[in-house]
Amino acid sequence: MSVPARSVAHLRDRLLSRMGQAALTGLVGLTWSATASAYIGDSFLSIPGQAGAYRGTDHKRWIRAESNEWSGRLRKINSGATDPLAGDKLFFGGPNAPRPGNSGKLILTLAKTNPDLRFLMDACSKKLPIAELSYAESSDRARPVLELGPRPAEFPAFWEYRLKGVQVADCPVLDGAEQQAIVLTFQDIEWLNYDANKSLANKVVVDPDDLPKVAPIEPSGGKTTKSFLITWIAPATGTTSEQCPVLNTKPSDADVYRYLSVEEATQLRARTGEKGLTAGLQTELRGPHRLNVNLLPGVIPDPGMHEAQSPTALGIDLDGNDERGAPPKGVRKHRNYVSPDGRTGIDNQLFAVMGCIPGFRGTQGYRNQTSNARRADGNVVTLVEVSGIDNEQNDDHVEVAIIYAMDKPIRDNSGHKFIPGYTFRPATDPNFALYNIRVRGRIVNGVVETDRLPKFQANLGQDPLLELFNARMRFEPQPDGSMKGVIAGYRDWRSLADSHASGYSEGLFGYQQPALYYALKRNADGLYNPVTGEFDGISTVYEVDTVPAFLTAPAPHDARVAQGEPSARKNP
Amino acid sequence: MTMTRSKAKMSSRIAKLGVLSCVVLTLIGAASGSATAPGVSEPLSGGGPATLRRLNEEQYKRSIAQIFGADIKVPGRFEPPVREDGLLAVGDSKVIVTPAGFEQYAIRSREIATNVLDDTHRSKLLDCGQSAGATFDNACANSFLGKYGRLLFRRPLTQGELASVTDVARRATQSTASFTKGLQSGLAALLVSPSFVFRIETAEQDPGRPGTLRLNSYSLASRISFLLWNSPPDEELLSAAADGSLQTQAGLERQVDRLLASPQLESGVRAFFSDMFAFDQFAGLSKDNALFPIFNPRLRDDAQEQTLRTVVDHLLVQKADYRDLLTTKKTFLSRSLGALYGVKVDYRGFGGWMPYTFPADSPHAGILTLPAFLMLDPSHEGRSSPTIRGKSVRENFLCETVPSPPANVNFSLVQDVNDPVRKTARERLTAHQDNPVCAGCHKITDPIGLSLENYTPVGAFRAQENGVSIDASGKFAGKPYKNAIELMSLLRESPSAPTCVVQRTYEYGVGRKIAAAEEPWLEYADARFATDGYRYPALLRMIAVSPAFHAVAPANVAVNFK
Repeated sequence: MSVPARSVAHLRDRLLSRMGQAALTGLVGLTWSATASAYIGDSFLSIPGQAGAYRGTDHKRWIRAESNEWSGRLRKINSGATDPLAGDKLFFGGPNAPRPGNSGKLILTLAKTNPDLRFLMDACSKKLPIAELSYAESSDRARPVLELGPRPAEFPAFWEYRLKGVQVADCPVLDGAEQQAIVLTFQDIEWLNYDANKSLANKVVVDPDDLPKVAPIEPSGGKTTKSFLITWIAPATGTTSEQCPVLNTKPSDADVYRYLSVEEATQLRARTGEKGLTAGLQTELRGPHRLNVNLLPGVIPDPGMHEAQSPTALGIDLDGNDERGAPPKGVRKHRNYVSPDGRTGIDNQLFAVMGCIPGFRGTQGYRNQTSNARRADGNVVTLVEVSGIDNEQNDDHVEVAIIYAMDKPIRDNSGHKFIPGYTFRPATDPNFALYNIRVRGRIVNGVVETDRLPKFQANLGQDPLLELFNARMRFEPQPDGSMKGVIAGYRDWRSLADSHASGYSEGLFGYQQPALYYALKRNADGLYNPVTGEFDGISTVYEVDTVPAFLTAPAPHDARVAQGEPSARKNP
Repeated sequence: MTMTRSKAKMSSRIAKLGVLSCVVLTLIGAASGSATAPGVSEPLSGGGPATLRRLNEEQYKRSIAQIFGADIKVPGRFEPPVREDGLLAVGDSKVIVTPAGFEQYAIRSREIATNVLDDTHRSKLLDCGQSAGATFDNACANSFLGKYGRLLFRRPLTQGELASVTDVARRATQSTASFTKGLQSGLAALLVSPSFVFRIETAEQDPGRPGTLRLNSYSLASRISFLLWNSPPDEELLSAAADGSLQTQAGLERQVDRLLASPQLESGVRAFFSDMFAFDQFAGLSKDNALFPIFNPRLRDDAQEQTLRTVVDHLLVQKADYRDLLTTKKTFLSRSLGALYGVKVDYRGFGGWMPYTFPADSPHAGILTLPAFLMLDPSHEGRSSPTIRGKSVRENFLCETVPSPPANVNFSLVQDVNDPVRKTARERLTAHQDNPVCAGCHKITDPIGLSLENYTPVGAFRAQENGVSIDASGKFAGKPYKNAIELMSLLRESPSAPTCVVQRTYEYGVGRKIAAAEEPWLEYADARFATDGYRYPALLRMIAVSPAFHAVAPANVAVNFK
């Protein structure tokens, strides 16, 4: 199992590695402050006189790209100036493109099945100059990775640019790759819907009235409330050695050198010397013509992923289908699992994808351990509240809330065991309070189940915001009074792949980003996109452990603060 | 075991009172709970020896804070206190200062003096000599050292003392070419003096009772101040000592009433009960974390504070019956204590305290069922000890004495909590008592302790031990009870509970075990306590204004250091 996000430590490493990249490659005309970033996901190109094939409502007749990279630009953790680990992350970063007046390079990848590719390849072979073209990238996807809060209304869904003096400078062809890279150079750029003189760090101001009205519910009228502190939350991708006889590994030297030219390989060997390759930038630039395969993973053939093999997995039947018969509309036919307690139709495709990646395997996974260590330290404190309980065994109407708290959990002296029975106050900081959730549920034979949430968002502390679509929760009571359970839904697999785009992470956790990309795409089973005919979501299950706890009403001061007093917007 | 002033024993004491020509026969009833008859006169007390007491760490720190300000740092380690006859306050009269301890006092004195006369504090605390530079200002040095010497010594300096310490300042000024450094040396000399570090009590002839001795005014001022505030006399009290009004009954009562009305009274009451309850054992107290993961320094500190807060609220705020401390359902909860009880606390429990009343059916009632008492066993980290708990109740709350076990006792039977046959402490202790050498004392301690076995070593409730239901029944003073709650009610009704706090408070105030000549007065005090409805502030007042409190026995007069 895995946490679909990079740790800040390795994000920092990535920043540093990118700095090294620019210094080494010496990209002409690009500087740190004026270079670009990247993301995996749709962006759109419009060339005058060349109608594109995209048929979506937005950007109809534009050319759709699968991933992009403003070459050489560092990707920021967040655009605000505060501590990315514990500080205010309510920012919305502005465009990542070079500032107007600068030349630059934009690398796009297109599916080889994209009808628009022929024109671009032709332009590439002819070195065809294009006076100007328009480009639009998602402002949400281009956003620095750790930022929180909704996109402010004044910002568009797409940053739009006009590139001038454009040339399709390169288009390295590699058989077996699903996508084709198109390297565009340009002499100048205009920002069409963002004032380039304005700061890129935009504070997301949360109106207290916009915070979810989710406060602890006191028992009353014979109805009881039970609360639980989340002590562990990570993707339910834990596997045994039988389920993963062979684990995935980081890219080998052969993998790194495979698509390099003789000259490029010689240069790299000379640079790394006896020390050999270091996971990071050196290993990321292993695509043809040294393209970055972490940012543009489709430009090389699928290296192959060892997927977990098991009849059982944790989760919920999200699609109402247990593999018998045709899948429901909008669902790709896929392998279903049986839960440990015998429920069929369990949807957890991420289990197969990530179960054999050493760093992401459930409780054994270093990535999950570090994330939850931060949780144990109180970096983010989350409780599950079940209220309105008439009958703890069977109750057709209870309320289930996820409520963030401002108080640190207490552990024993070893640091391994959470002490039950502590009381917590709801967080007043909108970095957390913004993601409080309440949903209707029920108790069936002691098991708490919720209705479907169209979008479940969770602040996981040091990780990027978790978004699950069509999500549901399920918690089982334990003999010690705690609950164990799952939160399941569909995750945007491109966003997930994007969050793992790091050579350092490949080395640390043991995977190859292109293999992960292909596996996610291959196993995506939900969120059917009728425009592209693709599935944008992969069924994902988060495993949750808890201890019994209490939630208490905020202090009168905190309540006042929650009603608009700005000084309250931080955790004590 | 030594019984306290039981009704029976009181009868024998009354015989002694007859020798003293005191009218006390009515006290028999009073000590057992009935009111003192109106007009009963207070028996004269023969007093006990004056004492020489080392300031304890808190008293030292409170002295510095009161005299120079709370921001003056008091560095270094203090020598450990010694408990004698149930109180550290008595031990303070028997301790010495070791060479290593003296070194700490000397270092501490220099650092405090430097702090007091640094750039931050000098202008506030020194009202002369600011421009002296390297020149020694004799008048200023005399004024400064005389003023603070009086506050530190809790009496005016003698001419010789002032001349001596001024000379230290003069010579230091000359050698350092700095008047400030000179004053620092003079102040350090005051701080390291036995007259500051020790409370030296001085006796004088009692003009009202020719042939007897009493404390002089300044020693009396200190006794009263440390009893009620746990800090040295303030300016007003020292003035009352200086003008002699403290030696008049009206003047004495005026000062005592002033101190009793002050918020500082809480500090005095906390200090006393911390001593009586042996809370010094909390320092370094630990529990086996594998068995009791909830135990941590915060819980430990909160448990201590919970009991003291309960005591202060009960005795000073509610002005309630002392005996009800043994049965009260009212207490305070912090976040960590809420976790121990499995109770939700409201916002007041976060960094503060939430008033809380245990439900009527709760197994918690009274301070002996609060975790401070239940966890306060430094010798057993992994299990509860009914013997230690029983001993603590007997000694600390009933003022009885339980002998120490013989040196060759084999405790293995008792300590084996994994014994597959004897699964409860009661079964293990019963087996242990097969040894007649052990049985005698255990019969005294264990019934009470076994009735507290429903509480874990950290104070949480448990119904079973090793899967076996805990039998918490027993007999106290011949009366059967089913559980700890019923035991608490019996303890509340025990005459020993209030007489113990009377005795301990008095001993705490005079710094020594009661002398034989004081027993009649103590019997009277027991009765007055009952008459006053067992209100603790009334007890404090009665002690502080009583001639008994400053009577000094001639045979053991302390050396007059003046």
